[in-house]
Amino acid sequence: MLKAADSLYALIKDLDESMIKRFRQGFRDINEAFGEVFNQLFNGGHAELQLDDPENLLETGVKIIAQPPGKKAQLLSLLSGGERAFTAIALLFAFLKVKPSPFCVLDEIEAALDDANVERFVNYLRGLARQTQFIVISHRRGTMEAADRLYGITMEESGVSKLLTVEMDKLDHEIA
Amino acid sequence: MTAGAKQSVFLKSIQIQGFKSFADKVKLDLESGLSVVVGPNGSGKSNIVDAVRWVLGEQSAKSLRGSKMEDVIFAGSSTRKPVGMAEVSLIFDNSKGIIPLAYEEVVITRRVFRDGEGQFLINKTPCRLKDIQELFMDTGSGKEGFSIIGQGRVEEILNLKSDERRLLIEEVAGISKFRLRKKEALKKLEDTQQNIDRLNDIIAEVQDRLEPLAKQAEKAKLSKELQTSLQEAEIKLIVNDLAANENKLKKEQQHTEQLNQELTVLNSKIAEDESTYVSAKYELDRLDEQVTELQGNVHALENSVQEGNHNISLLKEKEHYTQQQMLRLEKEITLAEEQIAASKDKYHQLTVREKDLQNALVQVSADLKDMEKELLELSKLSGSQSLEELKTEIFEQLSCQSKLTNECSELEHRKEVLTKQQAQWIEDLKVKQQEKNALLEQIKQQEDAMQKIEGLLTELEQKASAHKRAIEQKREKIRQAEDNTQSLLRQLDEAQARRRALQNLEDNLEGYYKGVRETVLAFRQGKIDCGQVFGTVAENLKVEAKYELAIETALGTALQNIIVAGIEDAKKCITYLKHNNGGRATFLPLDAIKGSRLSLAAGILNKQGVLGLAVDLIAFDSRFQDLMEFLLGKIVVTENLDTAIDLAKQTNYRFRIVTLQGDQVNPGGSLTGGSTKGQGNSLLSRARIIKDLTAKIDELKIKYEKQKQQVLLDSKELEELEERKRELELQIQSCQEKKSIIKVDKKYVQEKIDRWDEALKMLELDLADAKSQIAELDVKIGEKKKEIELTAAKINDLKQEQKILEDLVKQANIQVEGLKERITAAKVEAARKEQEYEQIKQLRLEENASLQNSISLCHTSKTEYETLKQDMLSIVAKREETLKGLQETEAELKAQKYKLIQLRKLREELSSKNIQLEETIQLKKRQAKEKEQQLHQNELRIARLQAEWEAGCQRLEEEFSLTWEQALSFKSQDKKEALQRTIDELKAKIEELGPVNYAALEEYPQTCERFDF
Repeated sequence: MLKAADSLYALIKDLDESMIKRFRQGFRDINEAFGEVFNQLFNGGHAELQLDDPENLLETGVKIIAQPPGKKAQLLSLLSGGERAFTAIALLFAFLKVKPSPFCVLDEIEAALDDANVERFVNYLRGLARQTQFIVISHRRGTMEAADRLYGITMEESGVSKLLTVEMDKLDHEIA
Repeated sequence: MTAGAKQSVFLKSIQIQGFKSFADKVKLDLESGLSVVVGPNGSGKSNIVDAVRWVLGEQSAKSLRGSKMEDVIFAGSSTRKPVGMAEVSLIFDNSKGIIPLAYEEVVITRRVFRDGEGQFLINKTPCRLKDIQELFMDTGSGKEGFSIIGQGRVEEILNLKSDERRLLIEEVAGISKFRLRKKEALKKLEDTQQNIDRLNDIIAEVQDRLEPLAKQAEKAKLSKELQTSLQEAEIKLIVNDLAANENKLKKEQQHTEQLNQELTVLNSKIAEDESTYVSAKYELDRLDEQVTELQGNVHALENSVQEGNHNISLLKEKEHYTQQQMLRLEKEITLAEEQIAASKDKYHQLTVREKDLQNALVQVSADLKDMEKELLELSKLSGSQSLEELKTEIFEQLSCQSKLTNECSELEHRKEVLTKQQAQWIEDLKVKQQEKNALLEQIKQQEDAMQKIEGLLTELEQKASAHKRAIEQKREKIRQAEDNTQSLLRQLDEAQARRRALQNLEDNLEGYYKGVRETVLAFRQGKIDCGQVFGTVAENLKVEAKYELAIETALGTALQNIIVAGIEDAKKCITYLKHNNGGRATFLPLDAIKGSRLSLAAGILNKQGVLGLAVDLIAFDSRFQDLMEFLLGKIVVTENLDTAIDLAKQTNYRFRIVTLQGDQVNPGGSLTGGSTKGQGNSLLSRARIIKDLTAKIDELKIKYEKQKQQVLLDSKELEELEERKRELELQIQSCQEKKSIIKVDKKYVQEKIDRWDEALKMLELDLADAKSQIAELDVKIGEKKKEIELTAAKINDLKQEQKILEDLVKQANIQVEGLKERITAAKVEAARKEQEYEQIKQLRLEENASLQNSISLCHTSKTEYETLKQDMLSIVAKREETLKGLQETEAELKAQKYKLIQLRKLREELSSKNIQLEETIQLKKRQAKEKEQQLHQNELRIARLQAEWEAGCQRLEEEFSLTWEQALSFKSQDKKEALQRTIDELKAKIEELGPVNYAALEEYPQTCERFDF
């Protein structure tokens, strides 16, 4: 029985080690991607993730430090609402970059952004769209303009949703 | 737009039916590129996201915005019924094999029904939720992954605590699996730890229990022995009991057999008797049946006799009734025939009267018609109709007149309005003209102001350009001054650098022999302990620049000699040098050296080109007088070599002569000379150059400061100038602004004037228009008035005509009144006649109806009488037939009654015989029952004995594990009481021992073993 306990101890130690190794690798990848995505989305600036306790990789928390162009580096909680949302989007994109998903549904995540940021958001999204299929739900003009296909949901009859499809490419042809 | 065109689609389509607000089937076909779903708030966009999440295995209804899973089914609206099932399918293109299934296309479906039952399907095959989760686990698109980022997910990331945020990163890094496994391992570890603890507890407990167990085991051993003897005694007792029991059982069984035989005999007798009884009873029953049948026959016959009698009386009655009816009818027929004759008479009378009345009526109506004709003619004559026509015409003319008057007044009103407006317009015209004049005046003023401003502007611009030139000049000056400053600064730097370098050389005694340098530096640093070292000769004298070369030549190496206070000091210094291997040096102790001057004739010294003794050409401290005379007191300095050679010749080459160029004539006539090295390196000049440089630096510094000051001043002036220029520019700008304002104003006023002109033109046009209209109106009014007069005349004529006609009508009316009265009387007469005629006609019709009625009644009565006569005949025939049948039936009844009496007698006899037989059978049965009871009791006894025996055997088997055969060996002759006593004693002994732990017997060796282990 004592032997069993010993082997369990060894197993836990093993797991801890591989967790630390993976976490370190994952953190480094995400941090790198996050910085890159942030820079592209904000058109400058700098952002990174910081560990609360770099000595204890098993338990440490993670904080987000962001520096939009022309401002000094600060914690996420000190940024303006739109910047906060955009930073969070940058982090989500960084996750997608590190761990690509074959398809992804985004439900009005860009609602808090201004028009210029929506444009950058959409441009970046189109770049990501090469490896991930995106289905975006949106109210923003900028996003709609960039769409290849628009799906309109209406409620002509109360309580019942209907679907309309508009294909932008075809529309372009027709207009031409 | 085509950036993602080549990329393949993974999620090909989403099908939703009955899910949330999607009541009808909706198919979302996704294609390559960016798909965007739009729609107004509340139209159900997010329900698509929920649908996808749901299919991928969302279990929490709350995150789908419902309270239970059935809430996702379309719940109906004001116009729609709820549906019973929600179904969502995702269709994936799996040609790349992202999903680990061997299909090109994978369809994932989830369904839920109203009763809460759910279903998952992969390619239409039912499966478990876990299968779907496993399918997506490694594709990175499960519901926990980042494939669905819902509303609020962004907020969630923002609001997470930093250690919760860590979990996101763990998710991405794929650590979650490890964390799970670690948790399991920790749990196992805890279990194992608990097991180990328990093991330790057990060891401690075993140790504690070992001792009392030993005692218990001993006690148990004793108890067991006692138990064994007790058992033996008990077995003996049981075996003896059982043997007795067996004997009893055998006896009882014999008795039972005997009883059984007796019972069998009795029972066979009873059976015999009963068969006899049954055959007798059968006979009896058969007789009873015959009796009943006969009785039934008798009864039926009696009934038919009675019925026959009844029928006969009924027929008699009927006959009587029919005869009465026939009599009544005969009477009725006679009465009706009389009545018919009377009615015919009356009818005839009424017809005659009716015809008379009809004739009178025709006469009266003809009279009436004549009179009415007359009245009509009279009425026509009275001419009331033409009067009405006249009245109508008058009314028409009057209305025409009033209409014309109205039109006329309207026209006049219009004229008035126009006239007023005309006046108003003329007034307006005047006002506008004035305003226009004022505006023209304004424009003139503006033009004046404009000219003024333009003059001012030219002036200002001239000033500004002058300032600009001045500023440029100033700037040029400042630039030059700055250049100067820079060059001064450069010179200063150079001088300072040179001085520093030289000072450095001086301080380090560069150029001196090693020994000299060592000694002086060591002394300065206090390394040599001696009275006074004054430094080198060179350091202690000052020479004008022109004599430098001469003095240097005169002194030669003596320049580097070191002046000390005394010989002792010189000695110490030499010792130091020796010790430190510092080189060599020459020392000049002050207390040892005595100087002497060359005394020369005054003529020589005053000679052209002779400058004097070398010692007199230098400056030094007075205490070095002797020393300097020693070194230089016998050397003469001349201006040049020729002079020197002359002097030497004159003085017979007795002393050294040096020239300013550094040549020298030695005593004895030898000459030394040639070129010398650069000045800077000379030991004597160095100090002087440093001094010169210092002076130069100071001078440069002052110059530099001055220049700088100048620049500052100039800059200030420039600033002032620029300030003034700016002011000017501002003024110019304001002037220009004013100018443009005036321009705009002017334009505005001009436009206004144009507008006024336009308005004036319009007004004039309006005025002309109004004038023509008024004239037109005047003409119209005149016409109307004429028409009105004409109409009034016409009306007068018509009114006179009306009066004449009215008189005529009055006369005619009187005649008409008389005629009308006559007509009324005639009409009354006619009405009365008509009424009477109607009455008579009515009476006649009634009479005719009653006559017809009587005839038909008479006819009916006759027919009825005939029928009754026929009936009478058939009734008499039937009565006779019935009487005959009755007599036959009565004869048969008598024969049947006799036969019945015979049969009853026979049955009585058989019945008494049977009762006797039954009694004997009852007696025998009672006997058999008694025997049976005895048998039963015997059997019960046997069963009890058997049960006791079996219980004994069982007890043997259970308590002592012995079969009966084995137990027989225990059989003994001991008495039962003795055995019982032994048992009681043993039991008492065991009781005494108290509670005994028999387990200890086995546990003790086991525990020992465990403990040893």
